[in-house]
Parts: sequence; C-alpha cells; structure tokens
Amino acid sequence: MNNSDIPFLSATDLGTLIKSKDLSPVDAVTAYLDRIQDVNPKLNAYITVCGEMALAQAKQAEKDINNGNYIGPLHGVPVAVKDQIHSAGILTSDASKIRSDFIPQENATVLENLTKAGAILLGKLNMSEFALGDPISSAYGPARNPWDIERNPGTSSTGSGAATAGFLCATSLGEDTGGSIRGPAANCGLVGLRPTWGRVSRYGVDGACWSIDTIGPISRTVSDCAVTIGSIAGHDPKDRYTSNIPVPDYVNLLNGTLDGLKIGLVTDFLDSDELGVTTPTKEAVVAAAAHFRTLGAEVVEISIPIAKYTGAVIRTITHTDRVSLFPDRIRTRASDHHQNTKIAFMAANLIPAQVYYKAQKIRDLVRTQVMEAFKSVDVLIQPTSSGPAGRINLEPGVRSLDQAKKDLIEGSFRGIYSLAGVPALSICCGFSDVDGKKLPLALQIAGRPFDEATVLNTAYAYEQSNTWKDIQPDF
Amino acid sequence: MEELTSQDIASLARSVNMNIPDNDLDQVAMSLNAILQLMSEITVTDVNLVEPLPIRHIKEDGIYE
Repeated sequence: MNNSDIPFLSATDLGTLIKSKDLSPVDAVTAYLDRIQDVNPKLNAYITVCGEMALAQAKQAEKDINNGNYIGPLHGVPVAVKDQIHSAGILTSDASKIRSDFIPQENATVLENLTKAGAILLGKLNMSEFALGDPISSAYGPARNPWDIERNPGTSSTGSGAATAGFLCATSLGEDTGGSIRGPAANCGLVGLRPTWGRVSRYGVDGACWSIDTIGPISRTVSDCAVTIGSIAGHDPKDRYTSNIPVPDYVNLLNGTLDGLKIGLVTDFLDSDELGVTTPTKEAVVAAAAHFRTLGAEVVEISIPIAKYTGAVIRTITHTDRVSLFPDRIRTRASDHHQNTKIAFMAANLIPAQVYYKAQKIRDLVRTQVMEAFKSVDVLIQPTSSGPAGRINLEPGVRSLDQAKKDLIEGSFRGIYSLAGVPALSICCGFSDVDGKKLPLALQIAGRPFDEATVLNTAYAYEQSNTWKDIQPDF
Repeated sequence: MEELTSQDIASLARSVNMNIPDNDLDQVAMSLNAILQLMSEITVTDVNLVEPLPIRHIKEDGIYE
C-alpha cells in the first residue's frame, strides 16, 4: 500500500493493520500529516496541527505494540478533536480571538480517554466561534465542505466534519449542544453520534450549555463511530452528571440484524410547509424507511406534535446559558467577537427571564413526548436537516426577520433530541445533485436513553446494505 | 406579537448595562424578535403545570417513566 492511500482506510481497518503489525503507527501518522499539509489549505479544517508530538506518540505506540503491549482498536490510530476540548500544552481557542492564547494545563477527560485507548492526536479542529453554530464565525476563517468547498461543512463542529470527510484524520470528536455533531455529519456524509447526556464526560470541554452539551464521535463509518464512542464513554468523577451505567462493547453489538425492531418515522419533520424539508431529503428518508422494512424492521408513522417548536426552545436555552457563562465579555470585549457571535450574544443577553423559563418548561414537554414515543417504538427516524449543505456566505449579519426565524426552525431537526437528552445519530442516506456537485443527504436515528447500541446497530444495518459509504468527495 | 424596535432594544440593553452600537441595533432586534415571536407562538395548554426541571436524574437501570 502506498503511504498516500493510508488516510483513506477506515479507522477500524487502520487499527486492524496496526494490531497485526502490517502497518506502523509512524507510517500512519506520517501519511496523515502529509495529507494535512497538502489538503488542509483547501479545507481549513485544522486550527493547530501537532506534528512533532504526534510523531513522537506514534514511535512510542510502535514500540509498545512491538513489545506486546497492544492496548486496543484505537492504538496508533491518528485522531483529531474540536478546539473546544482542552488539550494539555496545546492551544484550545474555541475558534475565538478572545481565547487565542489559552493553553490548558490538562486534557479534557474525553481526550485523556482517547489517549489511554492509544489514539494519537493529530491536532485541534476548527469550529464556530464559541460553538454557537455559525458557519463563518471562526477567528481562523471558515472550514470548508469537502463535497463542495463553497459550502458549509455543518456547524458548530465544522472542522470535525471537514477533516473526517476530507480524510485528514481517521476519526474525530465534536461537541453537540443543539446539533453540532449531527449537523457536520449530515453535511459531510459522515456518521455522527450525539450520545445520551451523561454518557460522556464534559470535564475539560468549554461549555455552551451545561445541561445539554455532549461530546461524541464524527466518523466515516458506523464501526469507527462505535469504537470511538466506546473509548470515551463512561463515568467520570470529574463530571458529577456522568452515569454509572456500564458502557457496552458497542463494536461487538453491531450485528446488522433488525428483526423485531420497531422504528417510528417522525412525520412532523417531513412537512415541507411547517419545517421546510426539501423534496430530495424527504424522498431519501422515506426511501430509507422502506429500506428498513426490507431489513426486517417494522416501520410505523409517528407524530411528536411539539417537534416544530424545538429550534426556538433550544436556542432560547442554550444561547442564554452560553452568554451567562461569561456575562462581562459581551459588555467589555464585544468587538473582539465575530460580528455574528456578537449579535447572537447581545440578543441572548436580552431574552426575558419568563421566556427562558417557558423554554425550560417546553423542554420538559419535549422530553415527555419523545419518551412517550419510545413506549411504542425502539428508535425514531427523520431527516437530520431540511436539505443538503448550504453555500457559505462570508457576508456577516442577520439577513431579515424571516430568515432569522427560518434558521431557528431549522434547528428543530436536531434540537428535539438535544432537549430530550437521548442519543441521536446522523448517517448518509443518499445524495442530491446541486449545481453540478453531489451533496450528501442525511437520516437521523434516535434511541432511548443510554441505548446507543441499538441506534448504532440500526445505522450499521442500513450502512452495510447500502453503497452510500463507498462514495467519496472529489475536491 | 408586536416587534421590538431598535429603540426598544437600546433601552433594554441599557437596563442590563450593555451598550449596543447604533449600527448593530437592527441586527439584534431581528435576532431577538425571531426568538420572541416563535416562543410566543407556543401555546401548550398545560404548560403552566409543568415543572421546568432541566435535569431528570437517571436511574441505574435506565428505565424512564
């Protein structure tokens, strides 16, 4: 195998070759660093590349494996994480000028867990400033979508989507508050899992909204996603809300069998008038539902009436919480924010307490309705977003009141499961030809709390019986 | 619901000790009006009876009722 082919392996296949000593971690890291040098200028996926450190870790991994000290499936596998995740001795900027000199003293628990699993950190990935979900707000410039570099790779884990789809890391971590793992996975044709709130430690990850933030994988395959979440999940004494529920072996539970599974197709999100879903996306999701029937699952239509409101509700809660973390910044350093971040924070600072309180009440109703749905089905499916990736518009600003409302409503596609606190995964379910480019469409699969295994296996059965994963971006 | 004007926004901002430059007032107004209008459209009949508990404690056996 040529070194330039190594980045195109899945993380799982790469790990298997490293385990069998058919591939050296040093060669793997070198291949990725070479590709980052060639391709990152186009995608702007990385804020920081840790070349020397990664090579040193790769040499150590090679030595350990040769000495019989193999750790597991991520040993020697090059990974990258969103720049919201603390990394000892390495810049963690939140893609903001305000944090451009912040060097943490210790790793976030998720990064520590990845390191313990033997993964090698290639670098820190671009994102929306302070994870607010804006495509152009990064102080380092916007990341680009490998399927069309004029398009948004999905927010707020923009670099995690771009780097993973662009083969600039084997697997990555993002952070999802209102959809920031699933959005990039959808726009970039990847597999992104927002875990159950409490499944993965938030310690050492710059918060957006303490009670909704989650950290999870953005990967190229379901198996890669399973191995990545398995390495970071579990109780952490440093995060008092992490659960003691044991972490299953997600990879071994991938059997692709859906016999007896009951799937609910959430029809509210197929309503183009209310939620603006595009025809290609609607058709792709309906086709996916039909495909699940051929795989042995029972699919029923289900309605979650409160669904359409969830975008406004989650924005009200998360932006208020986010600006409240550092309330003085917007007063004293307003001009150090990107224009779009500044406007969003200023607006959030003016949300009346009664509206915030109402949003928290609606949140409880959302969770109640979602959990009610799970009494009759095992997983819920729907589009991850209304349509494929939109064009990047470098002109900042809120275009109009109608556009601002549309943006809020779009957030409902992912916000519903963020508010419910349940696991939700995005996977490619087809492509749409737009302006001569092939753009991924995405299916979202949500499950009961702490049932990531069923969500992953449902996605695995779908992935293995389709060819979408074999189509690669050409840029 | 009546839209907040730029003047309203400037007044609200003063009340929380925040200065919004004149050329940003329209932008903040659109952003805030969008949130307030959509939130006001949510008319769930029993919302007043809901306790806005953001975190539901998770049981060891993972059962949710």
